[in-house]
Amino acid sequence: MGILGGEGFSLPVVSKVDVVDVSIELTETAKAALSASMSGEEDTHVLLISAQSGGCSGFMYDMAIVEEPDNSGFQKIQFEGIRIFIHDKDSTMLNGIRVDYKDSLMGGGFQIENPNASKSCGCGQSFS
Amino acid sequence: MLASRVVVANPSVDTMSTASENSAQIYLVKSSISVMEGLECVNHLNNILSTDITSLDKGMRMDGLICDSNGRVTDIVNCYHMGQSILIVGIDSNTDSTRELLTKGIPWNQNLSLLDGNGVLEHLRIIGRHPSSLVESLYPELSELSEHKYSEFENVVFSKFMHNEHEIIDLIVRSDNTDFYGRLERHDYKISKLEDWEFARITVGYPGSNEANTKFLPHDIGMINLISLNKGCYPGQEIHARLDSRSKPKKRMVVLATGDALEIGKHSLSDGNSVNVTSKALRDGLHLSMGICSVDVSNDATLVNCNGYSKLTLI
Repeated sequence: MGILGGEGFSLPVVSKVDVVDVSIELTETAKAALSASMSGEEDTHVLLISAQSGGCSGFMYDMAIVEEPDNSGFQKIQFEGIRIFIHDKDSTMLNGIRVDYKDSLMGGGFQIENPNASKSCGCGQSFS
Repeated sequence: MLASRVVVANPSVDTMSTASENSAQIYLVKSSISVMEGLECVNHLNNILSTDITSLDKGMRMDGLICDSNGRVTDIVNCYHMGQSILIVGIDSNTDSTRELLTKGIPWNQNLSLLDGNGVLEHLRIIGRHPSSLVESLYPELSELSEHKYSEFENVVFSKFMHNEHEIIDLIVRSDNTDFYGRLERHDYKISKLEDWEFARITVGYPGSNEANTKFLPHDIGMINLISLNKGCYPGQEIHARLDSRSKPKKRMVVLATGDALEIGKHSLSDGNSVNVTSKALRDGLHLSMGICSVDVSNDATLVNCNGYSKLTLI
């Protein structure tokens, strides 16, 4: 049966992470860039911002325009037709972030300022 | 007070190297035991650990460090691939921080869960002379252990690893495994107390909660073998890579055998360096301390302001 198996054997799940109500800021340049990227698909697609383990600071951001996910665990924030989804499990890490867009050939693109991050990687994708 | 050298009145209590050559003993180790379930658990752990565990497969054990973004060690973990899950054994005092890191960073679309094995599973460690012989006498049916693989027999997980040239055998056992504890009794083996484990781990230079606590780099505590500079990003990787390419480690671990107990904290050495004592233990009248000091420390250095003898061993 193995050390982790056997009838009636189970281990308790480590408690889930805390959930808070998320508020975020989206700059005008970020709104414009997102609208351009979504190109009229705002009704079916959303901007999904998430965090996961990785990078040299511990956690990495991920931003993707995806079809509206069929998952009840998301908090939904609306900005003039643009819908942003953040999962409950990421809420403590992403609450209060400011999403900006810099139109630059060097180091341009979407950038996230995170008041919860004590440290960020030079590339801006990883934080702790 | 003049610095004093070790006086070897009784060779059996000379130094930590002698202590480690005592008969193998079974120690209860207060560890954090967690189980991660889910298809992507190897990749998830690989994003966190300092070693590349992408090749971790069923029946294998791999170890790694968890470090903060400043490169300091926050936990030392042993990972056992159990087929459907990974058994993760870390340092007890770091349970909360490690579990928070493991759970917070789970991607929203991955079905990973972390289970609490504390209290249900126990971590035992065999250290001393010929630990394999002890296992053989206890379980003659068990085939020979090899590094990076574990054997599971009668609901006991056996694995072997080397640390500072000492062979160490880890056992993970369910606390309700009456057969295992019955075997120990029949062979007249006793499980040493937690205080004795503290002495044993200092003997072989294995870091504990006072060393893996966000204050020290892997280089400082003799765990450089658990960082992989080729795997790419992991927390602390930038610092470790910079140390490797641009500078030299500044600190190293030492073990001090002394006649009197040392206070935790800074102590002066006869060669002008100082040692930061982080852990101490007493057994059979021998005081052992673990400390961190400059890499330049002399092998002959002794403690200044020490009433009894002192003997420093570089780890």
